[in-house]
Amino acid sequence: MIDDVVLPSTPLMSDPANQPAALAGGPRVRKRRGVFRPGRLLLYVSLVSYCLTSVAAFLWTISISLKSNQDFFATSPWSLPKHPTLENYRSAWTTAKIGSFFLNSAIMTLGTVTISLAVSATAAYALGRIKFRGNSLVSMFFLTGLMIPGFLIIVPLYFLLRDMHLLGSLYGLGIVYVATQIPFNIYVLTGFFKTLPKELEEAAYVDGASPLKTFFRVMLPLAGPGLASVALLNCLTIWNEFFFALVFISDESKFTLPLGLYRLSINAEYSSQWTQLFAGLVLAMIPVLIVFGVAQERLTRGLTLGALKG
Amino acid sequence: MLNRQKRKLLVPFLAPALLLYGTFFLYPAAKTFYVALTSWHGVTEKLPFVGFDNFRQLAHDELFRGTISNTFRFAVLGGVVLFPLALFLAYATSEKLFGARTFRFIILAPVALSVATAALLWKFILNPNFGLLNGFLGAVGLGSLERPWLGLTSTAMPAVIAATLWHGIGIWMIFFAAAISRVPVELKEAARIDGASSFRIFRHVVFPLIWDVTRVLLVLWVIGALQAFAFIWAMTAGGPLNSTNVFGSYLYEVAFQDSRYGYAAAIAVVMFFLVLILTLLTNRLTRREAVEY
Repeated sequence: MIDDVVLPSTPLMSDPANQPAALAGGPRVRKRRGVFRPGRLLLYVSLVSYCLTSVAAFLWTISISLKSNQDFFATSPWSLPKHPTLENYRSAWTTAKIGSFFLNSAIMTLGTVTISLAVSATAAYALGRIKFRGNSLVSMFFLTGLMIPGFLIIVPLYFLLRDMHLLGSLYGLGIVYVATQIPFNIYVLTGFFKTLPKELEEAAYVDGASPLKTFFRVMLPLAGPGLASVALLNCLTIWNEFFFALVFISDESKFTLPLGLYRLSINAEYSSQWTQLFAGLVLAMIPVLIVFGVAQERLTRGLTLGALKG
Repeated sequence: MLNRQKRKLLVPFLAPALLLYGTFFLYPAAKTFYVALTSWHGVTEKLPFVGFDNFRQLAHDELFRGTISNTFRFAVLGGVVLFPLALFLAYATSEKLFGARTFRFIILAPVALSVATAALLWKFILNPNFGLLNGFLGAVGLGSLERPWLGLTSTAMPAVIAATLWHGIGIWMIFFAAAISRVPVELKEAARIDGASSFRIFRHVVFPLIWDVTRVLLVLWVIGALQAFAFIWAMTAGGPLNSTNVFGSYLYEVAFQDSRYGYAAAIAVVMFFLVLILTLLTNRLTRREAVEY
């Protein structure tokens, strides 16, 4: 509260960009910079039109998903559904198996992110907080992975999985997901562990906690924000992953959502089940958008943490 | 002594990551370099060694040359649109505008959709029969511009690029916005008092200060663009007439439709070195004195 009163009176702070929540200071500031600026209007107009286009596309998808198939072919794609129906959603979820794709993707994402995070966090702790000979060598070993694109590993990986009888199985795909996330996770988390104060760790040790206990009770909770950001980024990557799924999975019952939607869209071109596909599209979009709306701040922070440190 | 205690954790803490990463990531990556020297079709137990034959063949492969130029077209055209647009969106939403957060959310939201979802949405938008775009053009009296966007060699690539950028631009905006937010407010304020317009403040105050970040992002874009696959595969599968066939889609075809694994590995190796060279080159070409005020 006090800040709201004090801040606007300091001359350099009068830039409204500096105080996003200063509602009280609003009118006064506006008066001082009340000059009409055409540049600002232009900014506004272009932002609004860009965003409206996106929103329009989304609403259009919903509108079509509510049409019956006859309606869809009889009327203009622009018209609103005359007899809105949820039938498409029912058939997309069950007949087109979107429900099963969804479940596969959810299990896959949660499972692999958990494992990858556990494996990476322990390794990152070792690399960031324990001095030992060869530390930088091991770090380099992991860092190499950041420069290796998926295409470089795909062919031998395909045969490795085949020889292990993991081809076409979600376990095989899961192992690959875990492994491919490791370099990035270790890179970010090692940096994160390094920034944590060592006093707390020492205090726990002096109090008689074992190193393992210190790690779980003190260091891991301290690394919470970093872990959460990394986890969120991993979820995004794996939920959206297409290439490995396309190569490794061929059985429909094991399709992840991206793969399933892709197959459905290929089939739709022959079977003209368009409205059902639109419903599937909406089903795939909505939960992600909700999660995203809730976690946007964290995600934003995670993105900048990972790519542009410092 | 604490450190000595902690060292007991080394093996159990490092081993799982090392094992998984080594087996399922680094080992296949290294093996690709060997597979590239064979004419393997995946059937035989032994890999028939052929030396650099695959690379020689690649040099004369018309299709491969086409994919190189398409990949570069994707990277350059996409970059030319992406960077000014992302920078603009970041700058615009960094200003104190009514609803700036909502704008950011809407711009960023498509990132949360899977590539397959976004690609499908765009296939619908561009569909010649019921698509949103042709419908819009017809409605505003530009019916002559209606066309099967993904079916023509001239428009397929721009269409795929548009979809790719629409999907990912939010991330780039966030990167730029993070950099812009680190520019000291005093500098912008001083320029404003001196009567500089928004554009001039951006050009002469903000931009020089975020140049380093822009460089990093350029390198990231180049790396990402050379590996473009998902949007292309889901929207055009490299067609029509190979006009959107890029490294990724060509490699996929060669490996998993023609089973020419040795040849595919060779493509991957060429790709790897191209990415490496271009990364270094981009880094070198954009080097400038860092500006500090």
